[in-house]
Order: sequence, then structure tokens, then C-alpha cells
Amino acid sequence: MSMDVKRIFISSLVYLVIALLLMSIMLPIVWIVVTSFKPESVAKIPSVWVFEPTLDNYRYIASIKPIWKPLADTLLVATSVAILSLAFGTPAAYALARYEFRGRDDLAFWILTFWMSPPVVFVIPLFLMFDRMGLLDTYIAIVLAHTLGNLPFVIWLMREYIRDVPREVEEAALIDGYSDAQVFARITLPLIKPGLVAVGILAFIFSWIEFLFALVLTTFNVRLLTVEVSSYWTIAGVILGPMTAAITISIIPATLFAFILQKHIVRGLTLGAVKGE
Amino acid sequence: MASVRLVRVRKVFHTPRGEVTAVDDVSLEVRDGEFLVLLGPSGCGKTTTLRMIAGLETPTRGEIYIGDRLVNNLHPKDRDVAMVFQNYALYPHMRVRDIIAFPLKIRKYPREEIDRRVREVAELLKIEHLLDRRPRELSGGEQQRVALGRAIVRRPQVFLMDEPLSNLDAKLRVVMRAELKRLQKSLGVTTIYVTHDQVEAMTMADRIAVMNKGRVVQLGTPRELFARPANTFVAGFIGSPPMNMIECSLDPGRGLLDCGVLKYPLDPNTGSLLQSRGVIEVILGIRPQHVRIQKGEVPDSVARVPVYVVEPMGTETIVNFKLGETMLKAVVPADVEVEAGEVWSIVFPRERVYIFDKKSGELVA
Repeated sequence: MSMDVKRIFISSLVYLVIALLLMSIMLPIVWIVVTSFKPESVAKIPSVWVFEPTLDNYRYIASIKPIWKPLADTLLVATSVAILSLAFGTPAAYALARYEFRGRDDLAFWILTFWMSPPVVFVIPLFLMFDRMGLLDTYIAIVLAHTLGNLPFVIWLMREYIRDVPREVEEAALIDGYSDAQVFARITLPLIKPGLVAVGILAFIFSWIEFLFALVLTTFNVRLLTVEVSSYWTIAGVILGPMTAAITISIIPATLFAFILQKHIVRGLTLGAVKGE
Repeated sequence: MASVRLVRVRKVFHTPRGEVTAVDDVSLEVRDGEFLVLLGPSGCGKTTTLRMIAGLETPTRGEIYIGDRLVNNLHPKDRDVAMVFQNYALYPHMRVRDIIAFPLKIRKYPREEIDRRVREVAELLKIEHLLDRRPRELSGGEQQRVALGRAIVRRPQVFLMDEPLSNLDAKLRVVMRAELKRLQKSLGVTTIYVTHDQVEAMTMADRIAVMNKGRVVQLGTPRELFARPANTFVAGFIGSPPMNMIECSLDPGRGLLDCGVLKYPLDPNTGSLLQSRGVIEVILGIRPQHVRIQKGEVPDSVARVPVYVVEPMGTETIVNFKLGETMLKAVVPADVEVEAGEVWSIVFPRERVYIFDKKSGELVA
């Protein structure tokens, strides 16, 4: 009997801790979503929790200061970044995983150091280069910049996925009649598909939430959500209602992808361990 | 079908810790239709040799011929060889049917031909019921058969096998050993088989190439290697339990080998042969099966010593004697009654004794 009481006590304690953790993460998000439905008169700090919900803020970002262009731009940029990151990163990762050459591990680590360094180090040189090339405020500039920022982790993660594919499977295909390129395309790529999906989504999310490069390299021609949201901080103060509505809209796609990602990461880890489909 | 010829092949790997010579000047001819086993301890270069024949490694020097074709610069896919890997290397994302058909599909065989051959191979290997499964749904033995199926479906010139049985449990290994040998004989395909298991090598091979430290130290039929090992390495590697090796020095005055407790009288010819070659320090080798022991005093015994420990094996008994630092094993029929502590006479039949030069390890007499 006392064992039961003890067990119930311990599990309630665990749930309490989880609840507190969840609250600390969820509270800001809940506050943003709730605020986005407040009328202008109460959409301010300190917060009011009792109010009559309204869609005014969403009407604002739909027509007065339309969010459609930034939303479409961000979608386009993040998608391009995800595709390009994989297109450049996977072959590089393959070379680093499979070919023996002098200084290979040093090269791999050198690539990783770019991810450890603060992005602000790269922003000014990139700004100057794109300015010289006349590429400021273009899709090319921001897509390239984000891809560059993603490549280190894309290469490192894909390298791990590729290393999980037994070398002998590729060698068997070489002997069975495939060329090196065919082995990569038809044996290795299908086997690392969970990795491609997971890393691609990560690259997408990183581009989606990136602010610094977007702020420096784009203005009006290309308009990304992070910059758009920050523009609600005007000389007249923060326009909180429409801003929270814009944030609410902008976190939806990334959240959806995060759910898919979670499933794929779990699948990737258990691939081969599970029998059947 | 084809022969395989290696001419002074060498492979050097560049590692962070410097150069490593994995294969050192190996010359070898595998005859058409032959089952040749590359036998040796891990790191002896046998797998690297096999991988060079497959085209997965490029030789640093030397030439490799399959049939009359120099294949050094040929891509693996163009060498017309098939390989069975230790871990089978089945394509995890394919069904068994497609895995076996894979080499044929790549070579654009007509559909009916592919279906017919896959069916034949599946029948031969008794895996018809597995054709629609994926590799991870198969047991180790089943995966092994599928890997064999993929190799034989193409009827290649040469089979290359890299320890194909080592991942199977002991019982299945014995079964597959016999089946594999039968299969090879019925297909008549030249086969090069890598293993570190001397029993596998002895039971399956037409000829064995024993490798050590990147070199072929002896090439011959299983019988030849057993009866006349060229050096202490082969002598110690082949046979179970391994050959007894006793360090001795030549005593020309008394015409015998002085091995501490044990004295072995030489016949005059052997004595003068050793003397003429200036070999003083030798290793005396005798297989445990050839050591004779007797309870009473025997005129030609080399030693009389107490039994150290007795290991009954069922069909036979292994009797251990301690001679100074070395342990001498004798295999006797199970019905011989031996107790530890009893003093027995040990006899080395002259025709069963091998004498190796201690310095070079080579067989002298």
C-alpha cells in the first residue's frame, strides 16, 4: 500500500517538473498567440487576460501591411536553401566519409569550425562582396549566404549518415556492375533518405528563423519574415497586435516541419533495428 | 572460367602513422576452376590481396591478370568477378528477388532470362520461399545464401569470398562448408576464398596459400602443407592441436639434439646436414598425433617425465607433459588409461620429426 503511495508521489513529482519545463517553453508562445487575438486597446504590456477576441490584427497583416510577400519570399528562400545545402553538402560529405586522402580529418574539422564561429564575423565581408557584385537585396545573395551558413552542419550530419551505410554494400554494387556515380545515386542515396529528409528540414528551419543575414543582405526586393516582424517596432513604438499575428503566422510552417523532423530523426536512429516495414 | 595470376603484387597503405606494407611481393597463380584458399592470421594481407583482385584496391606495384587480361586499371564492374562479403553486404532497401537479379538487370539481360535464372539459383540454394523478403527479415544463414545467389546468378569468371562463413554459428558453418565446396565443384568456377580458419581451409581447398606479414609463405595442397610444412609458421598454423615446437641445440659430439629434459638422437645424415649448414639452434617439431607414449621404460625414448594434465576429448585423449618451459601435447586413443602424475616414456618416431632452423624458421630436415 505504502509502495503505491510512494509510486504515485514520485510520478506526480515527475509530471510537475515536466509541466514546469513545458510552461517555461510554451508560455511565451501562448502569450503571443493570445495577444494576436486582442483588440488594439488591450494589446499592450502589462497583459490583460480577459478580453473580447478579434481578428483585427490578422486583417491588418492581410491587407494594411500585407504579410503575403514576406511569407512567399521566406518559403522560397528556405526551400532553395534546403535543396542547395543538400545538393552541395551531401557529395562533400560523401567524399569526406568514403575517400582516403591526406588531411581528410583536418579538412572536416576545419569545415566544422565555421559553424563554431559567430555569424556576425561573416556578415560584413559577405555584404561587401555582394555589394560589389550588385547582388544586394536579391534572392541569390540571401540563398547563398544561408546555404553557406548551413553547409558545415549539413556536411557533418550527412557524413555520419553515410558512414552508417556499410562500405561493403557499396563495394558489392561496384562489383555487381555499377559505376561509382551509380553507386552513389542508386545505392547510397536511397539508404540515407531519412538523413536527407531530417537534415533538409533542419536546413529549412535554420533559414526560416535566420535574422542577421536577412537584415543586412535584404531590404524591399526580397523581404523575409524575421525582418518583416521586426519592422513592427516603429518610431511610434511596437505595434504589438499585428506583430504577434505575424509571428503566429510565421511559426506555423517551421513548427509543422519540426513535427515531421522528430518522426524522421527517430526513424533514422532505429533504421535496420526494426523488423518489417 | 579463367585463371588468376598475380605477379609480384605489392600494396602499401599510407596511414597517419606512416606507411604500412599490407601485401609484399606476392606472386600466385590460381588455376582455372580451382578452389584456392588464402589462409593466415588477421592482418596478414589476405583480404587486401582479395580486394585487389576484385578491383576494390589498386596495387602499388605488380600485375594482376584474370584469364589473359591485365586488370590493374580495370573498374570492378568490368572484371567479371563476383564477391561474397563477410557481412554479406545485401542491399537493405531491396527484396531478395531484386538483390539476386541486380547484377543481371545492370547488364540489361532480357526480363525472361532474368526471371528464369533467379528461379534456378533460388532452387539451387533452396531460398524460393524467401524471394519477397527483405534482408533484415532473414536469418544469418539465409542472408548468406542470398549473397551466394547474387554471386552465382551471373556465372562470373571468378568467385571471390571473404570469410563468408565466419558470421554463422558453428553448426551451420559446418553444413555450409560442405555445401559451398559441392557448389563450387558443380559450377566449376575458379574460386579464391579468404579465411583465418585452418579447418575451413583444409576441408575446402584444392590448394592453400598460407600468408604471413604480407607474404605467401607456402603454397600447396592441404596434404602437402600438413605433411611438409615449409617453416614453423605453417607448421604451427595448420593442424589441431598445433604442432609441438621444442627449442633445442645441436650437440655434434654426441650426435643428438639437446632440448633440456628431452634428448633427441639424430640419425648421422641429419646431424651432418645440420653441421654442414652451420645450424646449431633448431626447433624440433612433432604433431601431437605422432607423439607415442608408453608407461614402461623404452630403449628409444627421448624422455621419461610425469604427466602434467590429461584432457579427455571423447574420441581421443590429449596428454600434456611439461618439459621445462614448454608444454608437450600427445594425442592418444581414448581407451589408453593415463593419470596425471604418472611417469611415462615419450617416443618420437623418426619419420614424424621436423627440424627447423631457429633463426630463419625454415624447415631443414
